[in-house]
Amino acid sequence: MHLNNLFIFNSKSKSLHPIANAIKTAFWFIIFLIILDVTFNLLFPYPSDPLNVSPPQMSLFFDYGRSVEAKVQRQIGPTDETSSPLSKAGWLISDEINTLPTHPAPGSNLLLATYGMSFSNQVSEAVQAIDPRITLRLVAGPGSPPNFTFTAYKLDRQKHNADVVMLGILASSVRAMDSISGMNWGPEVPAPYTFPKYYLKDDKLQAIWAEIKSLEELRLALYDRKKWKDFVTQMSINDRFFNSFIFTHNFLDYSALIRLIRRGWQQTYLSEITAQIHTTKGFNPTWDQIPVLKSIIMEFNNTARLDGRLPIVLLFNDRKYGDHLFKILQVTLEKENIPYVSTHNIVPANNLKNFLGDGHFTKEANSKIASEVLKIINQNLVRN
Amino acid sequence: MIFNSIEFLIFFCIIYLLYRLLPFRWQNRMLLVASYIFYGWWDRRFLFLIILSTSFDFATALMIGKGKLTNDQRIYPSVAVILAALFFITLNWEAVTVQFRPFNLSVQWQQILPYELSGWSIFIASLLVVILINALYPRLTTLNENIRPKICLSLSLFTNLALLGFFKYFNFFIGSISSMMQSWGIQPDFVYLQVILPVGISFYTFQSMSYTIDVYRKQLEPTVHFFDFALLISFFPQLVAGPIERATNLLPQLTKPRHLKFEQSTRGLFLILFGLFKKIAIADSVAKSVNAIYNTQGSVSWLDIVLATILFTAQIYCDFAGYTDIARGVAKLLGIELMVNFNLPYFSKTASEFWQRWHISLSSWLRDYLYIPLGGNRKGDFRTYQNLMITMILGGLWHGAAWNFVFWGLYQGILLCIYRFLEKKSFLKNFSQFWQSILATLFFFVLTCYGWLLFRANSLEQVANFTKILLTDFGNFSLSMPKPSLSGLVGLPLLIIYEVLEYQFQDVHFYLRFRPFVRGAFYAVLTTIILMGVSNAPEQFIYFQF
Repeated sequence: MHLNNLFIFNSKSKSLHPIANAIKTAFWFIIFLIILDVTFNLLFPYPSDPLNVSPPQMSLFFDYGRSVEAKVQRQIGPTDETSSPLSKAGWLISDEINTLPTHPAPGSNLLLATYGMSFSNQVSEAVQAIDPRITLRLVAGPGSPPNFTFTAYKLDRQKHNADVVMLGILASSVRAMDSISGMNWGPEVPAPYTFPKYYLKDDKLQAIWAEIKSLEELRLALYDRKKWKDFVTQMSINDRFFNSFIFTHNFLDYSALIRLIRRGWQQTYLSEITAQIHTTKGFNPTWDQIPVLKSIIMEFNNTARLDGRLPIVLLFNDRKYGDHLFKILQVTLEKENIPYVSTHNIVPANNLKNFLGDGHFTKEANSKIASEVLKIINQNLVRN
Repeated sequence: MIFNSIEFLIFFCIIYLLYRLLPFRWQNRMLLVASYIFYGWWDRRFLFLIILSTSFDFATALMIGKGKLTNDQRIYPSVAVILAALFFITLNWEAVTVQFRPFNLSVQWQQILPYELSGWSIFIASLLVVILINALYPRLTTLNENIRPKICLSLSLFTNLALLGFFKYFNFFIGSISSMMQSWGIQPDFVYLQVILPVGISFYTFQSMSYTIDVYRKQLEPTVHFFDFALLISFFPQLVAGPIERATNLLPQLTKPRHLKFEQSTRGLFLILFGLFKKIAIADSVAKSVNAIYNTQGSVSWLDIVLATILFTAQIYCDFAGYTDIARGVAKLLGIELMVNFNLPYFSKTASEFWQRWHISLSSWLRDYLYIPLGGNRKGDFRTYQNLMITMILGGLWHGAAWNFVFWGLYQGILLCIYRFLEKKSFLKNFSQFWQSILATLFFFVLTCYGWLLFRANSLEQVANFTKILLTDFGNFSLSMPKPSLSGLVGLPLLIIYEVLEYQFQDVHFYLRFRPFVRGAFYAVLTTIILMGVSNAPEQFIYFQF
């Protein structure tokens, strides 16, 4: 049989009735969709070991649309040692905080306590690289929002003797002030840590705490349906980013193609919410969390000064955010005389050269930001 | 409402179901309402403008072709304009709130009518214009047979171009004059308009203009039914980004009962699938990489510019041709054939061939209503070149109110002139026919890509800067451009293979030659790549802004 005949019609089959032809094509279409689905699942399985932190790119790609619940269940093993590093990061109630330095290390003369995320950690490390006489106390959550960083700062206030406290705010995480867990606003690679959501009552900050505050509580809840259901219900009420189609584990998780559809759905869902909070022109000033963010900064400043510490607010205007974070907070920072460093004029967000492929700042960019931080520290503190 | 959205899917399913159930006359009425819903989804105020344009051109075309209007032909457009002004501009619909679960409709009657005169101004102005035109109507009917068509055509063209100029070009011209005066040391204090550009205004204005011109040229009998004409202008598949249909093609299909053919429906479905593939899997995938380079304030390398420009070449084609494919596919499902707008444009060997393959509905419009009336190639070489330049510069300006579009048009005009001048000279004589063809195509592709650089650039400074880097920084292969997402990386080679096959077969239906299982596999692969792309950040169709 000539190879062409295998693929191309001969005159006899060309005379097939168009409807019969279409039905045959539709049949093969469905068969091939199923074949492709199964093939993707077989070729690109997601590693079941929670300790595997670098799955193959293609496995990750076909896993982005898996339900949040399934991903979290996979991340968490029976013990901390058998759980994924991501699931352990960022918990406000954790023993890890007790292992951090409480005083400047021998040979150094200043303790810098930073509350933020990887961005703020990297800048703090760059500060230390420039001035090795600085000891670091780093508290961070994966891409954490200001409500996390502020709570981490408050819980940590009495536990150290830092001379300088630094609050990192990442522009792309600000939207998560409407959330209570890293699961819902970052569903592709969910970080299950939780944090409170703040609101203003009589101009005072009030917190709504997530029912689960530690990894241990989360692990228990995964085996206790009622507790888990209560937590999910709380998220559905208090977390603007929660969506049951994206969150709930069901049979759809087994299809690679449906996972792609779910991923598209979650992108649309999240971008629709984000569009109400932030557009290409900047943050929506009428968003009810903007006054909350301003209050957080003011309370951070007031309490730090009350404790005799130098407060610094570090504004990360990351990619696509221009100077938007700075603009929304500029008046508050200047009016309250709060020391701050904003990255927008040091390492502009619209210059690709300032960023690595994963969205973090380059080493050189971090050094530039660190120099500005160090300048504020040296201007405000007398160091021996 | 954009084609690649859930809203459109629901919208079209409802339309299709109703369409299959309704008799012919009701089909047209339903399509008209659906088209207005589709268009008003962006902004209800746009509807006033399209109804105004429709009403005016309907009446002027009848005055040109018939010399008079019946009572119905005067009443329908008059009432349509007044009601459109009232409902889409004046009334404050925010005063009406609807809640579905439980159902609750509440109207704050005190707020639905505006208090200020400004809220009523367009309504009052529309009312006055309608009264004035109706008052002038008897005088128009008494005009000489030779003069009346000319006056009516002039009125129609003036109104259409005035609307287009006001909404699209006013700020551009004011801004350009202001910059020029500033360069002379004068500080002008011009007023800029705070208006939004109605989506697709350039498309439907050109479509409407071609109708009155065709009637004037006696190439077309004016339609006597207002709603048929309204549907011609607003038919939703092609309303916001073309193809710019000719009334000679579309009107007969709208006014006669349509018989849906099975092959037409399956071809329609394929076009929708292929259009979504181009738009979602490729255009939206590469947009991120292109934007990163063209919107950066930092330094970029030679390789960044070359790759970003090649990707933009793919993006603009997949975006626009993808839209057209979906539009044609949707129309086919309704039994209506829209014209072909793209025919493998990047296989062109010359500038004139490119314009016979790219945005065919616009290039043929410019040819028939601008280039040929200017004299075309009938008045000697110099006038031919002059006419080509005028046509292409105005064609460039049609795309947008910015100098880079003017320069893009100028560039295309220069290419047309150079290729025309060199028409009979062959620089590739020493090569075989096959290699001549390949080299000519590749060479013109490079020229096309540079044209897209002019088109995509955000400013003239960027054009100058990128051109300088292209000419002087060759060999700088550092790359800061983020790579396109997976759907683009897989989809683009597939599209190239598909188009090479189509070019080889010289048949747009070549895929039907394959056995059902091959086609089934092909459709499944397309669907999978689309699904891979659905998580790409959806980008607005580029041509909506025109």
